[in-house]
Amino acid sequence: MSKKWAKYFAIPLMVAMLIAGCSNGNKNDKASPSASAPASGTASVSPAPEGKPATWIADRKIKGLIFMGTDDYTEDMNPEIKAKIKEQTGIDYEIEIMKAEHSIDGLIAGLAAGDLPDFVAFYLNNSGRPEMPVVLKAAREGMFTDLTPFLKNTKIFSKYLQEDFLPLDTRYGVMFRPEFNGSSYFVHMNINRQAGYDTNKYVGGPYIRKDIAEALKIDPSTIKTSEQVYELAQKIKAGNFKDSNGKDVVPIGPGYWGANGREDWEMLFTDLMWGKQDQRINMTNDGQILHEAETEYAMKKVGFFQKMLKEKLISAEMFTMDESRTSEGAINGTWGIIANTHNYQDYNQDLHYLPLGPLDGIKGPYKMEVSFKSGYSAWAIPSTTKNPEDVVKFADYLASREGKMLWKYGLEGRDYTLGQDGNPVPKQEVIDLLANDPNEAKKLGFKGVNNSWGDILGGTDTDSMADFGEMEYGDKLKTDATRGQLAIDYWHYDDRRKEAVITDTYTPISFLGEFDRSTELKAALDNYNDSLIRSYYTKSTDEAKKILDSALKQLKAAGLDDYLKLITEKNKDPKTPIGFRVY
Amino acid sequence: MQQTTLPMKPVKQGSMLWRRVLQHRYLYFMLLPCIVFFIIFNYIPMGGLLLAFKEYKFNKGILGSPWVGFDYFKMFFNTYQSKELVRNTLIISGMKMFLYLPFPIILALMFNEIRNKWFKNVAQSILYLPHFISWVVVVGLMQRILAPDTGLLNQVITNMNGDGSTFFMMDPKYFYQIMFGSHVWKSIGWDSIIYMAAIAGVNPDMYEAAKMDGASKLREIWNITLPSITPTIVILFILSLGNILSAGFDQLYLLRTPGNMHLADILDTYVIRVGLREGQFGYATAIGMLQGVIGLILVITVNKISRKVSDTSLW
Amino acid sequence: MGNDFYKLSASEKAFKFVNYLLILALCLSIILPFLNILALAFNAGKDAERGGIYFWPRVWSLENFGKAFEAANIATAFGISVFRTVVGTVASVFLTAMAAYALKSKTLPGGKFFMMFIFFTMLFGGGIIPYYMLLQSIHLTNNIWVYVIPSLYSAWNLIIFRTFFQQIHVSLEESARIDGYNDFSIFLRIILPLSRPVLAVIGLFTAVGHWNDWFTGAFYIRKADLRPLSTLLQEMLTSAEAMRDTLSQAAGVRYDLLDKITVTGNSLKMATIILVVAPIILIYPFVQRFFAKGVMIGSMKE
Repeated sequence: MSKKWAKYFAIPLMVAMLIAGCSNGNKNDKASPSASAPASGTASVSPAPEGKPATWIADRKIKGLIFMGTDDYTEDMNPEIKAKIKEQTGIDYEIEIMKAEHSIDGLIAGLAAGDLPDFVAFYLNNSGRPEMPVVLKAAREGMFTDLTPFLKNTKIFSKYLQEDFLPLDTRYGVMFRPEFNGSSYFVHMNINRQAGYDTNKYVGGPYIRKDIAEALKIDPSTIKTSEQVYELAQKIKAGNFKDSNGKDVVPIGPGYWGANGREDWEMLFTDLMWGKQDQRINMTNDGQILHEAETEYAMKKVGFFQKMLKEKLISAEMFTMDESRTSEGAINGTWGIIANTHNYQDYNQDLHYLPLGPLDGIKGPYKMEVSFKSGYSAWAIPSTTKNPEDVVKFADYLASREGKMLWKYGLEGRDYTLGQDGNPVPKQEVIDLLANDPNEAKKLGFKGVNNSWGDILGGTDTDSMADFGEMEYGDKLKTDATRGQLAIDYWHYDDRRKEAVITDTYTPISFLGEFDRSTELKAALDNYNDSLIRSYYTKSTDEAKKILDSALKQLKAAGLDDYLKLITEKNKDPKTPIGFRVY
Repeated sequence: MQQTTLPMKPVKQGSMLWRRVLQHRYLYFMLLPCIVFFIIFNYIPMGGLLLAFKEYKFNKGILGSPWVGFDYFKMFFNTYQSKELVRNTLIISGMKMFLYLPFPIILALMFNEIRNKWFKNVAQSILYLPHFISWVVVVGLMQRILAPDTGLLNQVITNMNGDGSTFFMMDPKYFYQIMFGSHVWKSIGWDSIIYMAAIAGVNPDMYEAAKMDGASKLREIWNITLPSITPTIVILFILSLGNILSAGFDQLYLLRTPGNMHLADILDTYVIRVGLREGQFGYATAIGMLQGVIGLILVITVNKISRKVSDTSLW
Repeated sequence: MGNDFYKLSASEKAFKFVNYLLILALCLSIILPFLNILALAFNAGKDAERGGIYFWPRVWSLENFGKAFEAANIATAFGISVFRTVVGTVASVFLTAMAAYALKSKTLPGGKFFMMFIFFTMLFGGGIIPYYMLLQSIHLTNNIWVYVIPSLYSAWNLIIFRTFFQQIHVSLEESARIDGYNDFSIFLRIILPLSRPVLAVIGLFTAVGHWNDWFTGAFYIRKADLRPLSTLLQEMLTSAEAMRDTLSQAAGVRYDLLDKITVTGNSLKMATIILVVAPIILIYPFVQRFFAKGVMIGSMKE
């Protein structure tokens, strides 16, 4: 019998392997890192063909695959804008957006299949993002083109090669990693021209309903500790407040963007939080680097949340509710306190929710921390792309003032007129359309109307004030307060900003990709996060302690100590300082 | 037959075979696209299982990537999670395979006893409904019904002077009930179709004979209906054994909360999380292969046993 | 003797009663949540947020459905779903039945081998990554035919067909052969017309599979306008981002200005669920009567 089986299955399997072999065999010669390197930098010298504008690049199509599911831009470009790009550069520009529940799934599938268009773009806030190990693997295995030689010949991106332009993480963690010996395979975007430049004045963190604070005669800015938050929540509960549907208010609700997988609730007790948000790793006063599980803070949190849950002071679904429900709760005023939101949200432009605190940290009062500069998203050129320098040149065009004017302000005459100072002034009808029918306005296809396709390749070296005389599109025309301004004033953003600590560091988990047991450790870190929440719901501290102890044991088994040793070493290297809590 | 015409055999058999092939040429034409299809869509991907023994390099493809032997299998068994993952998977799929088995059969038998055509049709249509909606909807509904304080169930409990604040989805105590209950709710109607179809095929004369003998309803079911559909039950059961190490990705993925993660994390969710999301194709393929091979061995073994014991078997 | 008879009848009555009661209870457990979805779908979204809607809408409104269809992506997705379900089901049922008929023949040289060859695929597979690479290499990803071609044949359906065909009396085929029919025309003119019950059942199974499948659209398709309704619904339900996308298309305003409109994310979700489920429920009664005819799964032994 078994022989018969073998006969039945051996043949198809062999056939299968043969065929699989054929179909994959030809991939071998597709990409080797050296072969795709350009011959020399001569490309830049070639002048624009006769009768073409100085910005002319080549008569070709450039297609990008965007692994960022967002409604910030659309696949359909406005035809007039598209024509303008073609006229200026000869480029036929097209983007395709990969929408997946997790953008990274799409990225991995795309890389594995090896069928990529002229460039790809993906999320990459810093080298600690989960995308980093994936794109790094791809770069090491020759999937991407070395961009350094092309960057040298550009106007804007050549700044990336200067000594002090890039933040450390972008420079040594993302782009010019020591292992690549001067080569670079990704271009990190959204690097501001000046250090500490604020594109937005974010006032983030917990917010409290103004009418509730007033009714309780409480000044939200006096709330400094988790103990005070607890007392405040008790008072809200006792006050029997109602939401806009007449239902009881929940004293403390989840963050605006949903609770699942986010740790917004940590903002409620920054004095009980060991590491920075989402990090959980911090340094003690005597220089020892520890994970939260190894400190007393874990059990402190458990005590706090068990108390809050037992007395029903926070939403019981604080850690699991999905975004549609959390934001509806915020809009309806169901949450007395929203665990985390910020001042640019439309529902709160009248400031009927006031910022709470800011709360103290573990080292004392709140201190604002501003990154020297920080990147967001990146793009790369697959080694299969022909004439990759065209893509780099095109990105450089989009990053220039002329390019930015096109993708931020649209077309002269149609969307804006040029002011005396040479800066664009948006037409009133566009502004009106944007206010009345944002969907229709979006079809005009530029960033001012919320279609920022240009950010993907051109959103860097940003200094809107210097380039266009305003921070945000249309600021000059606005008579009423700018978005978020009420909270900015209320919170004394500008004063705090002057006192801010400017840092240029790596996140503690940035080096997971270099750690040999990263899969295991990452699983153990996730397990700790889950265990923490699970322990909040236990009835006794003993039970909670048992759960947390076993989570710590797993962390240790997964090599936590070795990892902490690794980042202690990294922290000593001036190229890779680690960011710990500043307050 | 070999002995008598030994010298003639090769030639004659060859030509006979050829004649038979020619005779069936239409059938071969009808079959050909099917075979091509299975080679392309099933057997070629099987070649991809080589990945389980290779460190996948983006630029080298499956064949060009370097061999790593059984490293991924070792890696899996060395990780502290593997025991928990295998245990969780076995418990959950075991419940779905054994505990759940009688449910759709009983439902089919119950339907068989219903004479009112109108009621039968309407009830059946309703019972199939949950099959058509995805797990996301089902779990979304459950989250609302089982929510602490505001959920329907907790409100009922409060009205009966109980403590209406239980967070059922978070509490590990209720995990198996929720998992199993929702599985039954969603699948029982649809799964009973095949049994109902089998029951419909039972020869009505047999019931007549039983009635003559004065057999009770239950006895009738036990002595006639059940034995008649046993082959169907056995075959479906053996086939389901192939999935012993996969316990339903959709459902478990959505039911997981930090509270029940230590019970609900199964191989399927692990493969997606670690294998795909972190780009470790070789590792993911190795675990997938483990699931497949163990399932295959189980199916073959049980089929063999079943053929000996009951004369019912898949092949 | 007579006493016995009464006893029997009483227990039989009790049996019947319990039987009806249990089925009724099960039905209720399904119908009530569905009524809730239905009520929410037909209730004005903004009003529903006040809570308290169980099985009947408080403020009737068709707006949720209207907006759902206004959202361009839902209308297109509906079209894709209909296309793949109709084309996919017809092609798959016909081709699978044809192959099953060929494999039914006991005299076909190699028939047993081919059967095993096909059957084995039910027990073992290569996993998703090689499969994805395959689809990529034959240019099926991002192509509408990925919904149809990779599901043209199903080993499981083939076995059911084959078992059914084996029960058809051979004499019919033999007399047709005498009349000069070849195998193909026998299949077409004799076998298929006799197989209406099994065609209906397999057709329904296949169609439901097509209609419900969201995975293909989510993983093998990038273009937004090639996604079927089920994928869209799945996205709406799992990602708030996709929800906002649909909602802003439907309502013409941004999600964070929600308080100005009456449709909410939740009410639109409920309407979409109804849109996904309704066609199947409407078609089902027409197929149901064939279920009574009986379909057996057979062994591979024959």
